[in-house]
Amino acid sequence: MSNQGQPIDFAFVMASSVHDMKNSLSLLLHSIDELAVLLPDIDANHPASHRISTLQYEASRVNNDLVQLLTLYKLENSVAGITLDEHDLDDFLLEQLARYEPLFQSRGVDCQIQCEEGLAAVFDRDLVSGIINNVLANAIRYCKQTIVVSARVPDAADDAGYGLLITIADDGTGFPGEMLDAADEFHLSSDFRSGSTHLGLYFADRIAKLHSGHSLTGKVRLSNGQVGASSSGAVFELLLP
Amino acid sequence: MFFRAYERKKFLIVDDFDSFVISLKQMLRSMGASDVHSARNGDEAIEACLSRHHDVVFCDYNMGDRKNGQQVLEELRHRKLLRHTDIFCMISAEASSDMVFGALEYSPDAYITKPITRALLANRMDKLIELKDSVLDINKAIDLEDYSKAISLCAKHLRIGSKFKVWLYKTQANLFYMVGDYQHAKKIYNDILKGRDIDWARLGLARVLLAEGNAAEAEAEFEFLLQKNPQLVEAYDLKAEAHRQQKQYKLAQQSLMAATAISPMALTRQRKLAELSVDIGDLEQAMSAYKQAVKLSDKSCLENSDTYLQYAQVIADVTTKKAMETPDDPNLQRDTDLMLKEASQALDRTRRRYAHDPGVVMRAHMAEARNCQVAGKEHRASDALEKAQAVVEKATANPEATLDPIVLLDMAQSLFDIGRNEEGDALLKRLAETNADNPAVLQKINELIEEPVSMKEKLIARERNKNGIQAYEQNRFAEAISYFEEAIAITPLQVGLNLNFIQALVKMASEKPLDKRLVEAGRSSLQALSRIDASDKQYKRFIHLQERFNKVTSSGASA
Repeated sequence: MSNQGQPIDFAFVMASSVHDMKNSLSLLLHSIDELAVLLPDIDANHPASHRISTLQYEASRVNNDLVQLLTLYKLENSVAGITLDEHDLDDFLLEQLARYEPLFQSRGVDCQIQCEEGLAAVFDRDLVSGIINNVLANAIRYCKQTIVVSARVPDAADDAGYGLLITIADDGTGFPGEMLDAADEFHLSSDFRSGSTHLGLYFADRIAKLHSGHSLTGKVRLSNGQVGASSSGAVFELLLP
Repeated sequence: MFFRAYERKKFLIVDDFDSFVISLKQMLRSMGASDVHSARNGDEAIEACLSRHHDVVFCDYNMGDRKNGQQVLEELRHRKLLRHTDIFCMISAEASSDMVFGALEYSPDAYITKPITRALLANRMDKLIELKDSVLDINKAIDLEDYSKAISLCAKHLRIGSKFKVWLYKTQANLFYMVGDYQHAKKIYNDILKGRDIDWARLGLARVLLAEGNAAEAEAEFEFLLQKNPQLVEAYDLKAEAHRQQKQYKLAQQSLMAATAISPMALTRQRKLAELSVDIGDLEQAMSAYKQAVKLSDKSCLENSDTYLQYAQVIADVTTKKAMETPDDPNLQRDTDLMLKEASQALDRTRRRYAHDPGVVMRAHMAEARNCQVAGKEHRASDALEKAQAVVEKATANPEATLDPIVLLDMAQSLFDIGRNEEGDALLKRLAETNADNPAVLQKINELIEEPVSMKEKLIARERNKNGIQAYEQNRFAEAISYFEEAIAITPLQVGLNLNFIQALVKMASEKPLDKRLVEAGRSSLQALSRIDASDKQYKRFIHLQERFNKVTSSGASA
């Protein structure tokens, strides 16, 4: 098919489609919440409960992908930048978790926040929230029952100079070996077998690197370790200067 | 959750997407809210707030080609329909591109990104309500415009310790800026920026620098901010002002164009761009900015008659210029007719909107006469002229509705514009008689009698002035000087032009002494400028240039 006439303004198409889809997603998520309230007494093993949980999870994923798509598009075309402000971590993490509240309930996931009161750091709220949302969605999918989200000033010698370490860990079976091996270089591979996982990490890495200061740039780390009852749960770390 | 707090509050949701309104309503109800109204667009929202007060407004940023959320907020504040004790939440589908965090008046209390879940909403609202309750006394003082009290209340809250330190510092710095206490505002911003890079503080600091007259320093800060975030509209607006202060008009125009490209819906910004474009002689850009401004004036609280009249003026100028430059263009007639139609529509709207003001109605008729004349529609021009004269006669017959002499001076100018010099002279004579005791009016009359140039000549003068500015910006001073001289030969009294001429002379004198002829020409220019009033916005520039000119010419003579 040839494209005759005016080339389309893709930025406009993108913006208006996302606007529309976000409206739909809002409604979708809200309807699912309502549905869950209409079925209050069924237990977690009931098939309906399971379906609701799937709906919630998939709708969240679509949203995360949309955010990623639009953010990367804008960064690539230099129409977006970074807005730095100081944020209270406890408050910030609570808000990220609030987006997933219905999902935690329907899946019976216990999500804990470990954060010192009054801890604050400077970063772009929208962009970092995009990373957290993504990683949380994965953690919800792979955890057995526990997710631990923590924020602190890093204390390891390797991390000297960094101002903030956000960790999201789940008690699942951990990251697969090849992901840990490739974890130093988050580039976009042509291998998309693992769905959006790689794109998600690429996104996280890109956003982390936008944060710089004190001659350091932000970075992302993956590892497996002791989380709750699991001896090799997935541990995602985001280090910001 | 403060269930009871929600129960007592009046909510308004503004969004063009009905289903979203319904779902947000349900969420608010489940949180305890009982009084929730909605509006489908900005105009309905203003109506709703006129008919009753709302404590919390949720407003979608993007409502198609209607007013956007930022405009709704600005209009609510402008009309005092939203207090600082109330809550305004901007809702958007993506991280907002038109984020405002510099100006206290026009920053929303929160930005919320869709999709919104009940838990997220409850979390945000609880925090906002807690904040607003905590700083209620400060916001009350701001609403009463008692800024000194608000400043000391901020200090008091900070002294006894508060959870909302950031809000307090930000607000206090903004208030210091508003009352002109730049030293204190700067201290807060600098303290915040110590060791950290926080955008609102950097923007605030740059804004203070600009207000203090440190335009170059401020410009560097805006550049730095824009490097990191090229979508920061507020920084473009302020950067344009920094350029304007440094007389870099072309750069100022470019900065405003960048801002309007991101956020085209702000009326004042379009108006500024149009005015600036007229100043630098970019008539095409001026026309398109005025066109947008005229469109945005509809149903806006910021509407004014000047926007319409100036739009018509620019159209007349463009028409004349085209006829002069490309007389053989086969589309000339069609383009001319189309532009005249645009101008007539704008002027028609002006007469309807300002029917109560004979001065405006008369000006609109005169503008119509001029636009018809330059488009070659002589009959229509005469008709319009008669209508203008009828307005004047009617107003003169009614002693209580006398027209401002300034309006009549305008009319005389318009008569000269369209080549009706005799009628213009007659009007000036009458005016001189009735205003014998008004020296300001008499001076203007003299200027008009001395300089009754037609529009075409004025346009040529303006074009030469523009060429001169361009040459000056490229450091070709001799060339600039000869362009300015050509223009001065046509319009010897034009203030800005004469000032440009002096500036170019001063610059050239710094390279080599001026010859005698140019020194004389400079002196006669200063003579022409000496009637400039101290209240004129160019007065400072005049005094400054006069001093420099006298300095370089006296030292040049002794060398």
